Amino acid sequence: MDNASFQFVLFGLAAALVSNFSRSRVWRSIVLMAASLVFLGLLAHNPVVLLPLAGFLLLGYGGLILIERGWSRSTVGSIVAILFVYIWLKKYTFLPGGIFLHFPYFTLGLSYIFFRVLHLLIETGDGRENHHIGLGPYLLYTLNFTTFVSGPIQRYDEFARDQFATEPIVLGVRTIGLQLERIVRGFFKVNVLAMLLHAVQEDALAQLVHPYSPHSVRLHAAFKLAVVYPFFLYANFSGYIDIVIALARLMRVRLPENFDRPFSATSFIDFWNRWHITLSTWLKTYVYNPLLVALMRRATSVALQPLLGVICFFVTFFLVGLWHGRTSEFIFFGVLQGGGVAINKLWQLGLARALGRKGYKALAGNSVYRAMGRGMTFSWFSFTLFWFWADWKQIDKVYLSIGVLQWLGVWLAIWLSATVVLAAWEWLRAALLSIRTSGGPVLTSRYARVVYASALGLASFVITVLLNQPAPDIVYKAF
Amino acid sequence: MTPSNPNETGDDASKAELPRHDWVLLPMLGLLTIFSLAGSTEVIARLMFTDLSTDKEGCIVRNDSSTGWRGNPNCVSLEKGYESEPTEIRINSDGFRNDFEFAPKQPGTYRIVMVGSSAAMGNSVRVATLLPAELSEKTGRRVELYNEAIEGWGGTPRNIAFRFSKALSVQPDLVLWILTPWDIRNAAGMMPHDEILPDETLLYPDRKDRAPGTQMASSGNGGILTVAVHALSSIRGFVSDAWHNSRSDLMLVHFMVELESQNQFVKSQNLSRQDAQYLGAEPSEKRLQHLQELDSYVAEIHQQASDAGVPVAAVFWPNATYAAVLSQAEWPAGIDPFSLDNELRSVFVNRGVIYIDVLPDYRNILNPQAGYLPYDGHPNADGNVTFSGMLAKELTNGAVPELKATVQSLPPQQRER
Repeated sequence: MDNASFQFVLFGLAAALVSNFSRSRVWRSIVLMAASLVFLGLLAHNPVVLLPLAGFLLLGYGGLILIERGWSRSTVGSIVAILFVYIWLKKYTFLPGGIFLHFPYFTLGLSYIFFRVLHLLIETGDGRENHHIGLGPYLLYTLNFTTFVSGPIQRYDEFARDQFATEPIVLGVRTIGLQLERIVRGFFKVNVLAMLLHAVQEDALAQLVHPYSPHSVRLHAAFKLAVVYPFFLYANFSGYIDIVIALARLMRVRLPENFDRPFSATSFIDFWNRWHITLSTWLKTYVYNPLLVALMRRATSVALQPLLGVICFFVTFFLVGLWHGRTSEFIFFGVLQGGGVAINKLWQLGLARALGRKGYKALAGNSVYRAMGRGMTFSWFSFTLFWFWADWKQIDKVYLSIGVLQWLGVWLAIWLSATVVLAAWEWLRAALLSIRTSGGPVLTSRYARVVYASALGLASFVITVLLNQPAPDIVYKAF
Repeated sequence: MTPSNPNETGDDASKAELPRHDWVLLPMLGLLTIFSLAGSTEVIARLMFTDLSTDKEGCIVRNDSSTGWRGNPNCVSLEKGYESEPTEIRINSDGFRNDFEFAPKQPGTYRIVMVGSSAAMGNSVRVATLLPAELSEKTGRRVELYNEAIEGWGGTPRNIAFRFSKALSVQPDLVLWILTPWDIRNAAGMMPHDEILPDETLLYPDRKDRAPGTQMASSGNGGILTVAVHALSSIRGFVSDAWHNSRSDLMLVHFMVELESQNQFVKSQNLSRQDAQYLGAEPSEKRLQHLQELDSYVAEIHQQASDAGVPVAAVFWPNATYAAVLSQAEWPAGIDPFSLDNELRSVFVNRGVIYIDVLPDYRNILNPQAGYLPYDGHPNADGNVTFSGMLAKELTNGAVPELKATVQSLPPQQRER
């Protein structure tokens, strides 16, 4: 049930069906709460393992009540307490091992709950969320089964707007059709596409580190290994997000989008506007903006101000990386994310200074420059992902499997290939979408959607049910 | 935060309703897509995967319960399996698959008679033609091999014991018994009606284990639920049967296995079915029963061989799943492929049969499942070459004193697939 399985989809569709028996917000909330509790029960099996999670939620709610009652000083205290308990429950390695709980407990979804609780505390402390939030709505928001396992991270006001609306949002047959198509597409991405890409990645890894692999095979494997993982991760994560967004919409709640064709990004900063959007937006809202304001208050020099943005970018995206895990690999992953974004910003500033604003704008619009930027963005992201999926031992093995010069050659080949292939893809996509009728592009018409949803559905059915191919886990549920 | 995409969520109220004709047109379009895809896939599969047999039924006699399956003397047939190349099957006048007639032994020649089932009987590139050359090269003496393996029920331990005198009648210096998991599972079988698990697909255990993994509950709490569960099970059974009878199944499994990494392949094999794969660290009751049956035929065979003064060496040839698990760095909890290996060693050694252990050699091979036909499960040409190499190495390392290597040769090249 914590995967994009048939069982999960059927469970979500059943909950959506029951939820639509009445348009009353009370009924819909009861159904969502019941579905979320059943979901949690199916995942946890034993209620005892849920106790730490329950404690975390109550701590957050306690902080919220204190802030609502005017104890403004408790805002910082609550945030610190939530932050500490989160780090403690997630067993971050920099804390002494002796203080951790030494029995198995449930941490699935904790990271996403953490963001939601922190968001509520900050917004309430700032007075931007000035409506009282009851325990029921709080639990509905934090335990919502559609966003529980891997997000997306939704704001409370957006959730409340749809979930508690007296007149719920329209759910016409066209909307239902679109959601079903999206579920099929998401299911295909996770269970077929990601499964195949995962197989290629595992195969490449085995070939790369196998002592008897010939050198040419290793070079090819190194290329495959680096190129395939970003696509696998995208198919795995965005497929799951497609499913939960569609299920939530069938329950008359609009979840925020988490992806916007990330491999079309022409710079690393642009990439993070398109990949795991709700996470980067959350951190930009609650880390980047306040930090920039604070630094600008202290450093009044106009010349320094662009550099302050660079520092804030680094800190924000360092935290994005760090959030993914508790080990030193993820600290380095954070450094690479933060470093990538900061260098990208410095590059933009440097070019703008050298070429002037007009010149830089002209360059940024140049299709060759954009294509090379797209290739570079993909290559950098794929490079950083080694610290995402592997530990130091594996990374060591992988990088020692061929020489330094060969690795440089592999990365150059990846950059050039990504530049050409992604540019070709952008061109093809634009060309296909330009085939239009009066109703819009033919490819996004309901007729085309029915055709490819049927095809993807058939392929998914054959691969998962008849061929019994095991899909890899949803990667982001581990965070 | 980012709002939902209206194109995805369908929130454009002006387009909320469908024109009436779309209520018919869209489902028809969906069905048309599904049937067209399914149909075209089946057509492509039938064009790509064909079989052929000019005289297959004639070359193996399958209906004589007094002899079990046996070769039809002097029969020649051109055969092609769905996944293999056309091969000429030539049965000699003694009823075994050899391209030559059995003849009196020449002085200085070391003669091996090989017994076993379909894996040993072989396809285009086969152990019977590879092994003598490898052994001759390693030992520096002339080694010849008579292949007395018979496919299917002709190669069960019971059948081998039954016609073992034929193997001894050609004055062998060694009887080499090649044993597969299927042979162990059907040790007491002589004809198809003897099978212990009534399932034809056990010939192809890998294929069987690709059946849907999520089992439907067999019974509900009564009433509507039970009816619903039975109805769903029936539909599922119907779809599953139709699928397994299609050529599309064969084609997709074939390409899927070719594409899969070793880990993916092992995961897709449903190792929880340990009875079928014999991979459990602890023997199941069925496994113990099969080993007991095997033991009785080993005793019988050894007695005959011992009376004739001929040594017998047995070797276990793992199937694709078994080989892939062997080659993995770590095994899931409860899985230990060397558990059966140890049990087989004790069965054979206790009865005085030499046990040739090639399983440790599979630890050094990357993707050993590529040495088997993906759907059919039998070893392919690569698998035969690999196995022959291992077998030659183990036979000449002193296990059979007369075959101890005298020529120093380089270690076999580890092959990349």
